[in-house]
Amino acid sequence: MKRDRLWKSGALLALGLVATGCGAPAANGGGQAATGASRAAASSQPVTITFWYGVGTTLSQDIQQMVQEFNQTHPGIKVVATYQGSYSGGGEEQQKLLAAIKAGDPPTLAQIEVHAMPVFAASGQLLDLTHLMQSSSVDKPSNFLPGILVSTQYQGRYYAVPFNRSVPVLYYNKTLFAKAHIASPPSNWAQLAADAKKLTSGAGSNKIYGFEPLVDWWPWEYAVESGGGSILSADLKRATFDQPPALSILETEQSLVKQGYAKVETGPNYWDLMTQDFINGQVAMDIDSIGSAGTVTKGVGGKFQWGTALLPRGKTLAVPPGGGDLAIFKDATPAQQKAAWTFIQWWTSPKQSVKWSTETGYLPVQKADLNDPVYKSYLTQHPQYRTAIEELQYEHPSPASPAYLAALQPVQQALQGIFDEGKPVAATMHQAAEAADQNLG
Amino acid sequence: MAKAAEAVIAQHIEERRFARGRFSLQLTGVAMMAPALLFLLAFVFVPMGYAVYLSLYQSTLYTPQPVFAGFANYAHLLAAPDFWQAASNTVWLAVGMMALSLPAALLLAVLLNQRIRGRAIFRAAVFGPYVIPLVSSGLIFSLLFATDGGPVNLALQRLGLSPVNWLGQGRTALLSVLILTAWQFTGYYAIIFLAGLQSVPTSLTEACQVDGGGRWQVFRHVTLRALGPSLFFAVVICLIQTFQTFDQVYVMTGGGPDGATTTFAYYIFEKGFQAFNIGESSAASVILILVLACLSYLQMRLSRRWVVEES
Repeated sequence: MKRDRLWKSGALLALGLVATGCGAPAANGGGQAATGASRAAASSQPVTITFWYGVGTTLSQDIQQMVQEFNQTHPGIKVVATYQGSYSGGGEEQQKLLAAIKAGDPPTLAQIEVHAMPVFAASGQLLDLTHLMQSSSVDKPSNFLPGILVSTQYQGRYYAVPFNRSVPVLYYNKTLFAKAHIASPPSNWAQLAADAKKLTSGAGSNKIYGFEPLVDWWPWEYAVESGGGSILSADLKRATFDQPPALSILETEQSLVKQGYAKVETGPNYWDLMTQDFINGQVAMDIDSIGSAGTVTKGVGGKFQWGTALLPRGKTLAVPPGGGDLAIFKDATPAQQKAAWTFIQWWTSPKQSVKWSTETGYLPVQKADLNDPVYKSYLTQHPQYRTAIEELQYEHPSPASPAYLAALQPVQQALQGIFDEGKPVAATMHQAAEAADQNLG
Repeated sequence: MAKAAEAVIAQHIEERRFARGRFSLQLTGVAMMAPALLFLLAFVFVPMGYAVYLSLYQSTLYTPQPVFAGFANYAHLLAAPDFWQAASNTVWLAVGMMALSLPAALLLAVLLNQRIRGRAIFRAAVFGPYVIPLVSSGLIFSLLFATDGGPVNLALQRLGLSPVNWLGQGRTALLSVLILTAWQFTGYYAIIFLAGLQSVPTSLTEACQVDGGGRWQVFRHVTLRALGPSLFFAVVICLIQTFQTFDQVYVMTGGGPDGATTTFAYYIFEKGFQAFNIGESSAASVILILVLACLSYLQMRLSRRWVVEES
């Protein structure tokens, strides 16, 4: 096994050298790892650790800035942070991590999407952080906001620490609500359906829709579990999301679409388009990530009043985790692992965690963050985030199966069938469950 | 007798000299090809062999040691409805390209072969789309086909028709991908045909005209026949390109809605890099290679008679 890996990384390095000769940027990975290892060997040099993340544009700038700050205040450690493309399900960062693991050359630490945690934990490549967390004054499990750790555990062990976390919330247009004489946002699906009818008005390109469902498996997790259903069986071997309780919220959403009270966006940009519909005042309610609050704030400006509310209840309320966590790879040297843990503790300590949250709109992760004066004043200015923090207590872990990501593929297809093409909910989801079973077995 | 023996010996020497020359010639040839072959070996043939190997294993990210599975991955794929959906989408795209793009390319080539003013500009314009990266043209066509405010729908509304959710419905999404693919590649096929047209011997066309053949007859009996090799080449390339359709799907539809635009190549990507199922993904790649090899072989067999007869 070990020899096998040595050979593979040797081959990769050789390929890297060939690629450098041709001016291809692919050589960076191999080259950096080699210099990192030799630097770690020379004890006078700072320990270099590599950090892969998957959030771009301004978020990437925020990360680079904070990493720079860390490097300046920690002379013994040098963090090299690299944007590797999207960290989301099937995104480029995930693909690169997969390739790096197969080649035996992963980074020291990486941002990992919460639903991909079981895959990476099961690969046996992540460092078990349980003892480190329990003995840490900063990242003790009890220091975190209740609910936020659901995604960081696999088979009873901690493999990650919350990094950039979000939840889906209900966005509503207060101005349209007032026009329709509705006093408060709906708290359950019967109310939401009734409100959506009242809020729908106009026709043609000027039509305003009461609601817009997001055709995505993330809010679908909420719909299944809040309807009283479950996604997978307890042993994680069978899909159970085609059972009647799991379908109840989907049925309501689809009937709203079919009756013309709800709009649906399709194509690869469906998510941005939905957020944009809300900003344009074309829909009165939608279910979107709290991470979109910044975009909505900027986009709406003073055009209308809006707010966020807890997701409406079905039989119960179960909120899926969202965003990413930080994990350390086992392959790193002990010195690198120690440095990575120092970095994580620094990042998640209230001072930095509050800075990161207020800059980006991601959720605070620690209880102490909520008592921080900076965060308190931020909340009074941005009351929308209160909903998201309140929702954390309803956080429900997604199925901890390494095959879960594969099982979500037929689900995403089925959702498109249901919302884009109006296919019957029960039959379509039954088909998806059968396809998912193939991936789970 | 002696003369005959001399001749035989001379011929023998000649043969040996020739053979030695050929041998050293061969060596030089191989040496000159070596760098390219080495790259092909490292980046094409070794990965290809590795894919065949992986396709026989149950291999995912979360099973660090691949487990030998025989043909289980293949059996699994052949039983999966979404695999067949991807296959049928790809075949429809190929049929569409044959019916839409190749005839259009032939027409363009014939037009561009006329003596018209600004011919060079027209030729460049027709070839233009092929030079644009598929990802860019995919983005452009996504905007063109946008449901709200996309130019295509605005034009439809001008004509009093209702707007179409182009990328959001199975049939129209695949059609949109086909239209983009045709737009992208038609110019390329047109250039192939144009090259073919220019090698049609004028003696033959003139002979046909002398025999009283009209324009259509000249085209049908002389030009089209002489175009045989080009036609054959374009059909093969078109099939292969269509079976590799990926970029435009990635950008325009993400394979959706409900798998309606998932092509063979996109399916391989999804299996491998979104579901992390390397084994099945490799098995699908092997099937794709086999299908392409069979198609190429079949076409070569069918066309050999036809093409050789003409040349």
